[in-house]
Amino acid sequence: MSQDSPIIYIIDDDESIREMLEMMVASVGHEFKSFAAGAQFLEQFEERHGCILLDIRMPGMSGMVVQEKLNELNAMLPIIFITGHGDIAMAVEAMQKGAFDFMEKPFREFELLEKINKAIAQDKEQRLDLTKQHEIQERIESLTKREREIMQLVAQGHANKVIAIDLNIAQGTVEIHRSRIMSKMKARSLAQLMRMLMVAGELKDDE
Amino acid sequence: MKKYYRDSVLAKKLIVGTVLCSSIITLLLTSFHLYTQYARDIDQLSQSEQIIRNSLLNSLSESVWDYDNKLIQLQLEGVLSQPYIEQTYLELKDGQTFRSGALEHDWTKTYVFPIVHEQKGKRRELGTLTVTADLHNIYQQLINSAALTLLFNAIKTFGVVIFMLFLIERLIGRHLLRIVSSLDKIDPEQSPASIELGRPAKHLPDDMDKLAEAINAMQQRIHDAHHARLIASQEKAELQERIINQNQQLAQLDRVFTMGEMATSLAHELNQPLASITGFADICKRLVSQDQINHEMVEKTLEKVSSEAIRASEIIRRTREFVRDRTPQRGAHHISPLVHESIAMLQDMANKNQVIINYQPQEKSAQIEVDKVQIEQVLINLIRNAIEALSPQANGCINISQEIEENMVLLHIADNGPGLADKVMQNLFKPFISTKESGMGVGLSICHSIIEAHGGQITVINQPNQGACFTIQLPTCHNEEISF
Repeated sequence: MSQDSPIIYIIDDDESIREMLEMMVASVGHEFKSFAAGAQFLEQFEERHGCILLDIRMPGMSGMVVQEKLNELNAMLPIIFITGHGDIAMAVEAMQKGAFDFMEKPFREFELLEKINKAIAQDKEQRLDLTKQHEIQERIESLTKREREIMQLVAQGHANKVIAIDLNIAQGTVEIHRSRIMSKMKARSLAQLMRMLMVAGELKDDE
Repeated sequence: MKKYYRDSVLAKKLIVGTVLCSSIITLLLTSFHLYTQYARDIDQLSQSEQIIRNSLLNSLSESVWDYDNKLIQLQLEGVLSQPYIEQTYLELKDGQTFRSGALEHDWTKTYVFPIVHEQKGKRRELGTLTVTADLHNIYQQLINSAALTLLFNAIKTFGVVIFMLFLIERLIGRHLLRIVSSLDKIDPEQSPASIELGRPAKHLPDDMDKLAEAINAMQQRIHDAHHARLIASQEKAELQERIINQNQQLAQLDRVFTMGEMATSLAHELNQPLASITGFADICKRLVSQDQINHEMVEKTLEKVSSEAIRASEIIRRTREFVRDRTPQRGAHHISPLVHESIAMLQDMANKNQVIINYQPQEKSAQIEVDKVQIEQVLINLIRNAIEALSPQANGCINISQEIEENMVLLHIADNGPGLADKVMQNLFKPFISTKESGMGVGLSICHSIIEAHGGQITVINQPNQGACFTIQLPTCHNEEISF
């Protein structure tokens, strides 16, 4: 299968549960790879489009530890934790650490598949955003230092007149800079520019 | 009474002793008596000699000097009048001899006197006078006297012995026989029958009465002590039974408590097969709803549903078996399934605490004659303790290994935790001492008593920084030994 099609990683120490998950995932035609232990998965996984079904309780390395290791590796793969009845506290902690969702055992097939689909969709979007982010970053880098300065002030919602006074330049100059910024950033509106900056994570920066 | 004399060694000893003692005394006294008599006789004899020498001899020498043969003969006969002197013989130098008296016996004593005539300072030996004393009479008298004394003494001794025997039989013997026959009949189980001497009611109590009283009192004391011991031993047996019962109840309580502690783990463990049953059922439902039914897959999923349901019921069986109130039942078991089952019950707890349990059963396996649940209880207690000790640290690991040594199976449960503090070590197997906030503190004490009841041993080695290692020793089955 191509790189674009999602892969489902299944990590569970219980053989039956693992087999069941494999059959469910395979039924909707997803590619999958399953592991009986977290360490094995961390050695072999690839950072590509897909999601992870991770058992929260496992001998040796627990699901929580696997998540921590993935976070350290800056892995983007969304994690759906498979939990037992009494694991809500752990599940909440996992969610706070950025897990996509959790499934409490026992669960229905459609519930799991739904969550897998959602996770895959989110992952796809994230990965798309990621490519966009790269493009925007390149556009920002094409701006001059002055233009970047003015863009920040614009993004902060200052009017042209205020910017001119702040930087001690003519208001006309500000307007010229602004139109250059818009064309370089390929933004059709101020709102679009703001969104781009948000995606690139430039908005909070205060140069 | 006759029988008493025949059988009684005491009577025989008495007779022999009395006769012997009396004989010795009689002999000594008789000999002394005879000696004094003899000495007197001998003294008399020497007096005769003195008389002859001092008075008769001079007149005889005068007669010889005067050649007065008639007087000589007369004088010689005069000598014979001295006691015991039986014969005189005078031999003169001129060859003339005179003889008087005659000897009748052999026992004699002879005295020879020289006949000396002294005149004007001139000594002249005229001849020799030989006087012979007959000792036969002396000895004869001695023998008669001895025989008489001995005879009297023998009669006296006989009389004394007979009287003494009579007295002893009356005063001691018959009572002793009665006491012996009553003592022979003593049965410690029965209440004691006191000894009655059967004497008239009015009599002065003597030593035998004291003896009978003392024996009666002793009998009573022995009976009382025996009775008390019997009751004590019965009470001890009852107490022991009660202790065994209480130990069983305590062990049962510990199991229920342990299971209570592990309830969440149990729920989680049971949830696993339920989850897979739900999942496989869903898969099966979807497979059946498809146009082209993949029978093989349907069969496979249904098979999984069944096997998972059995897995769930196995967990329930195991749990029920563990907590059920029961009397211990021993049977031959291989050690590895017991270890596996114990680990299974704790696997979830181990997972939750990030502890790995390693168990490599040996190929060579031996059977042990044990109560399965109790041994699992011991293993669960030990493994659980290890998990709890390891929970604060990462890379917690419990290694379970087994060895077979002659007729013993050794099971080591080692962890890589902090080990046991010395203070904990001292009271390790004592009950109601716990280092945990929850827990009754009976776990290890129960382990100890269970393993001891199985004829085994539980020991612990503490290696600080390397963790604690508990070792269980259990004897192997005897029939298994033969098959080895």
